[in-house]
Amino acid sequence: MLQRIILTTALFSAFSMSHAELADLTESELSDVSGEGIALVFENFQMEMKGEVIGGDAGNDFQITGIQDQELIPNAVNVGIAQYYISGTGSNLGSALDGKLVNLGRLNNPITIDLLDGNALSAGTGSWADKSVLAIAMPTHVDLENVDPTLGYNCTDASAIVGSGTCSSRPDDGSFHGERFDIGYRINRIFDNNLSSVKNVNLNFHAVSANMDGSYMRFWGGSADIDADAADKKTIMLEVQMNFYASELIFESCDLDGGNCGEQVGFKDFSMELALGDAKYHQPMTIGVNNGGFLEVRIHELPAPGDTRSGGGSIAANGLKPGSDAATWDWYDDYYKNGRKTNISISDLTIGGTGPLSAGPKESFGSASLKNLQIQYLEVISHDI
Amino acid sequence: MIFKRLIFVFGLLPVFCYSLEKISDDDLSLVTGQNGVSISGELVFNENGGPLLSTDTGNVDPNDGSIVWGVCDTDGNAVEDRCGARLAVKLNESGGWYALDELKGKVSFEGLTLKSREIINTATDATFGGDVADLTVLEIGLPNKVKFEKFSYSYVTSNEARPTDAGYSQHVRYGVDFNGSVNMQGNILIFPTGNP
Repeated sequence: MLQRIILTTALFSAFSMSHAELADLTESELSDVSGEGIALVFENFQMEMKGEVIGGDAGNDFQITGIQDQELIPNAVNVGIAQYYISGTGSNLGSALDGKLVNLGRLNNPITIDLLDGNALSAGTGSWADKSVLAIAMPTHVDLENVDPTLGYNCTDASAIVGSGTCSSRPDDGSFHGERFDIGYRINRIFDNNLSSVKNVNLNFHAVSANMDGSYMRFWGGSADIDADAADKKTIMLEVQMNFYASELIFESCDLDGGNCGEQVGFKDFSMELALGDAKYHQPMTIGVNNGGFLEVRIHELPAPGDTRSGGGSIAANGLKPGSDAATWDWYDDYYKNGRKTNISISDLTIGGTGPLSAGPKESFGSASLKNLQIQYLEVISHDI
Repeated sequence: MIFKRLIFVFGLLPVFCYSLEKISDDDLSLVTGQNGVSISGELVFNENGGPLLSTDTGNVDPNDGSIVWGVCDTDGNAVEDRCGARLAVKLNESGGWYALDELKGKVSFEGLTLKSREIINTATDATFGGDVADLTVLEIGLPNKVKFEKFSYSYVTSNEARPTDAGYSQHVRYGVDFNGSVNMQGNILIFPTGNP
């Protein structure tokens, strides 16, 4: 007993020494504390996986597994990553990575992981009304209305200058390596089940001076019919914006060791803005697993006329506003005008030649684009074959 | 006995008191952020097998026949063999599970560093291309090499959480099997961003 008393006294004396260090937080100090998110910037970054087959370290062998062929007794399909790289620009399709470094994200426009107020995202309507939304976002586009528009860069031009576009990631300007990266895969498919090795194939994909500005994934919880049984179930919902811009996108096939490349297919000024899900108009994306263990991906149906979510009224048979419920008609009008849209464009499709598109003559097939695609319903379910 | 300890405690007390001194503001101002940690090490998952499911008689626990400890060496002797760690998640009210299955192998790295860093942009520091910031960030210095040894996992979807559940069926979406080293350069900078 005495022992404990003394020990306690000793402890008290220790506390009394530190007592002066503690001070109350005032109301005004507390009000300055805000729920802040996390920002990430990759500085002077480069990463490379390189298999031994293409000159990497001895023993390097990176395989993608889980793929089988359709034989009666299925054989594992052997797919190897001969090379994967992400680096600064000027890597000559991944063959000259030394010193090619890149920043991903800018100090004033970083990659963010943040909790957002759903009501602020869609004015209190749609799937994320009264929800908090977890957002993982790449650097944003320059806001042309609220931020000085002269701050942006053309998204696909590898030598874009300031004021030429909406992307915040900068290309290499000679003195600074910028925020645009080269990325590529070399994939080898090797047949090892008594089939001739002449069937072995290689497929390479390279993107030059790429960025993903404006991309985001937003997650929140809600109820939706995730397995088409007409009953809503609690689930995680997503809205995804997947942007990928590249000055050049190149597909080619070579020997397994990277030599002897054949002629290539090239996309110049590739721009993809993929909009999956549209929470504001009650079209969340859900990813579920059904009772059979199969994957089910859905972008939920746009509410039909008569649904309270789209105003509850009807639309006239001729689709015109006179004769329709005005509020409902306006809701659909707003969806078609302002709903999220997918755009894909390339300025030039080229065939032939090797190396970067700027390196030599190619056959040009001109430009192609897909604009303003809206997804009203999407259902993808995996099956065994 | 008690008396002995008593003396011991009293003996210690004055030493504690005298060894502590206040640090003056001047002294404190001399303390700089001499900080940083370098970490090297390896993570090993189920290198010698996993406990999930096996029909090999050699894998049955000799002390308890109801427990089956799969041994990776015998993986493949029977169709139902499984080996490695499993992490299953169900994100929906109904339906099945996503799982990282048969996670096994070794990941080792050398020279991952952690430190706090004050960013001051000057004309001579072109790391951020002239972006101005007055920031203290957490800097994670990436290891030059991350080495994978027999590191593998499968990403699967399944109808039940456990392979031992009745009627279990799963579908492998993809898997990886990594051997070798991945080269890295650079730092990851982490700092707060405001958007409450």
